[in-house]
Amino acid sequence: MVEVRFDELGPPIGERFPDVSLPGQDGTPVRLHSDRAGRPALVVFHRSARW
Amino acid sequence: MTEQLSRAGYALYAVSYDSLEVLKGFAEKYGITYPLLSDEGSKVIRKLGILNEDAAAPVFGIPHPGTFVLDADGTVRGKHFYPSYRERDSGVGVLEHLAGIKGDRRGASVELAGDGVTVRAWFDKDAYAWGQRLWLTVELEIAPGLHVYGRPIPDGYYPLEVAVAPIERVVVGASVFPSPAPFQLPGLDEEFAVYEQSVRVELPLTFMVVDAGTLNVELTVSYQACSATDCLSPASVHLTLPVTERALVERPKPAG
Repeated sequence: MVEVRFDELGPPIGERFPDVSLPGQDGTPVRLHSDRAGRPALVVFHRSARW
Repeated sequence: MTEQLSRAGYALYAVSYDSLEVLKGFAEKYGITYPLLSDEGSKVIRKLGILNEDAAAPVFGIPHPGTFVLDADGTVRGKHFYPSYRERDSGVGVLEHLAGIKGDRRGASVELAGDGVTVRAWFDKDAYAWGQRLWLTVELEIAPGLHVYGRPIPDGYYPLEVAVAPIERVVVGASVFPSPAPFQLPGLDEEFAVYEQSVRVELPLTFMVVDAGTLNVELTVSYQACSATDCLSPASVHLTLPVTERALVERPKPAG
């Protein structure tokens, strides 16, 4: 039986997503929650843009 | 994809461990205007608990690929993950489902894509009140050429099952399965009852609780996916869906 645990990956549903700040492609830092400006959002984590 | 999302009022962010240089080149090449965020060193990926520990050098530092859906308050309302980094997110279909841009889901939703089968679950409402019944839908999307088994089931095979971990004063009703289709393997007399393409199982949960706050409904979806010639390992997928409590308009006052 292959056991797949979903719940442990990342912040749980119902919790506020951490207010992360990372540089965007133009080099300026993007702070997630202020950049959203009240919009709902999809935050996609992917392996690499290169491969 | 981005057009549809922004029409639905969604902001989009993509995070990877790539350097700024790589992301800049990528954005220019494909004309990407939404933020591509560089988590070089994988600090955020690590902090969020989504680092893929199994990935060996030179790809160490990659996350489990997945998507978080945030509501307007920044609260996580949905998650979608691929357990294997070999797979790529298939894009808008998944996102539409997950964000509820299309479809009938109102409550929190989770989705997990495995080999050949994607499992999703959602509630018809995002909150419960005392005595209220919420319907939980579990949907399996089954890759072409594969099927999962329904009942009756011959010995040695695993039928599709949905189990909810017991919660005090929450009554879980019987799961409602659609009728499976007959399926015969070439060269075998036995007839199987199977589901192909997609199947939805629905089950009612009645909440006889007051002042319990947010409850985590933990469910286990088990199934075995097979083609006409091969079977994948039986799988058991664990999902957690929170439901919040809606305050009653009128509530009994405590004595004294």
